[in-house]
Amino acid sequence: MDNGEVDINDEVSETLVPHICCEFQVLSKTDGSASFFQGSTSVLCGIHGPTEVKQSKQQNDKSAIEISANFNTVTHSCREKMLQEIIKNTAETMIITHTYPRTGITVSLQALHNDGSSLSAFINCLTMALIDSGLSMSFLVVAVTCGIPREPDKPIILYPSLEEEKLCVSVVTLCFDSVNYDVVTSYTTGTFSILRYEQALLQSESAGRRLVAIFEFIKRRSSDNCS
Amino acid sequence: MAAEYMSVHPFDYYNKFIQQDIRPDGRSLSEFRHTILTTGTINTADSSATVKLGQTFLCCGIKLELGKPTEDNPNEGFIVPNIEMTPLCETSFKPGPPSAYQQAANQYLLELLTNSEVIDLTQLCVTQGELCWCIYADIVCLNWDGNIRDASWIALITALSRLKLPRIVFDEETQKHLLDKETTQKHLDVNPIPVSTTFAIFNDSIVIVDPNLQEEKITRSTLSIAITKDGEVCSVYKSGGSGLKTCQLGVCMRRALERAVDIIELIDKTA
Repeated sequence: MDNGEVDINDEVSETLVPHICCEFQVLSKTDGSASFFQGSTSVLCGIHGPTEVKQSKQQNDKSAIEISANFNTVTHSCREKMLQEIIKNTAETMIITHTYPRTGITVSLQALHNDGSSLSAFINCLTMALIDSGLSMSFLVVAVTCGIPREPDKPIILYPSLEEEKLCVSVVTLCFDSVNYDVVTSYTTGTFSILRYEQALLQSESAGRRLVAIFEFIKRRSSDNCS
Repeated sequence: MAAEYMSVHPFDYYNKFIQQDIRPDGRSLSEFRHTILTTGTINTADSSATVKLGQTFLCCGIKLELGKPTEDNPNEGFIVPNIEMTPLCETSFKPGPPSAYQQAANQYLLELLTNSEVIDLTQLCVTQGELCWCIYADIVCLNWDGNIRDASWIALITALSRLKLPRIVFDEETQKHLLDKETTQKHLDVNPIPVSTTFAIFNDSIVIVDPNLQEEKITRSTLSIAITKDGEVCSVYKSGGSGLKTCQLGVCMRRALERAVDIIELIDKTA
């Protein structure tokens, strides 16, 4: 069943993550799907799998994951390929692919509205859709985007909007696992100092913990609704 | 006997060495392979550089062409890097369009160029909106023994730093742009150069520097940090795989900084 809106922003960590809204089972023909709203940015994800794959793509010991992500950009460049590789590798870390040998798992992601922090919205939506699909996962992966402003004394902006991203000298996307909060994925644009990156790491980790709590809440609510 | 054991149980073979804090090729966990850099190896190219990082051997050749700038950026030229990995360098590559691995490596170079702004593209503009230089940098991998990112970046940036731009004059009589061969050509202005360092994470816990091909195959994830010798980070690229603790990231940053100082010295020393 649909999950509807979730709003558990409390006073302390209100500033860490934007308003999160997630719906499961939005697509009827997929094995798992989710639509994810992160502030004004929204993404839709559909998962098919485990399914049959061609002999050439089959792997004997694990499942072959294929990602198709549409970022809604006008020009298609190698950048989209690199972001797809990042999303694919993150998915491979999350899913216990050894459970499904000689099969394929297809993930389709579609950007609905981009108001900044799009890579983290994609990865968070992927996590939610994987929860809905029931595939075996080692842990959840949560993604946080930080914007590092030009001025060295200004604080780091968590989940910057499109306008805020343009004013930042660099944008850092970090992904953490939900068990040990280790850095699973890191992708940066622009230039920054080591100190700024370490600040971004610390703040992202707090935001990541908050996000994991929200995801767990959403999971519990949706399973309560189903039963 | 060791060779058979290595081909049947590569992970266990490797583990036995790592437990003694050493790698099968004799390096410590934080040691780089010997790097050799030469410039001017290709006479027909406008600038060239050859890099040998251990057994990874590649060369970069740069060709200059004139083109029209885009409407979005009328006063900027282009730098187009392209890595070619053919079956010559390793049997797993097949002839044909580049695989996702090659495209990601290509994109990595492009991102480093854009993020670090090491070359100001406005230098490549001849006439705003009409004519600009296009720098085509072809990097051909002749032997692949892992760590294509670091080696190709060193080759690319060295070749770019040795590149000279000819002067273009506009002849009023013929209304054409001509190459001015008499004036001495000037070097490209290059901002502080970032240096890329790649790490691999073995067994989800141990970080090794500069993985060779065998190490890349048995590890689940790599981390690439590009940093200038003054500590400005241009890229921290880790694409999934085993998690890294924050303190481990800090150690990697510092190792990357040391490497940056060594490589900048090598680039400056090379004629």
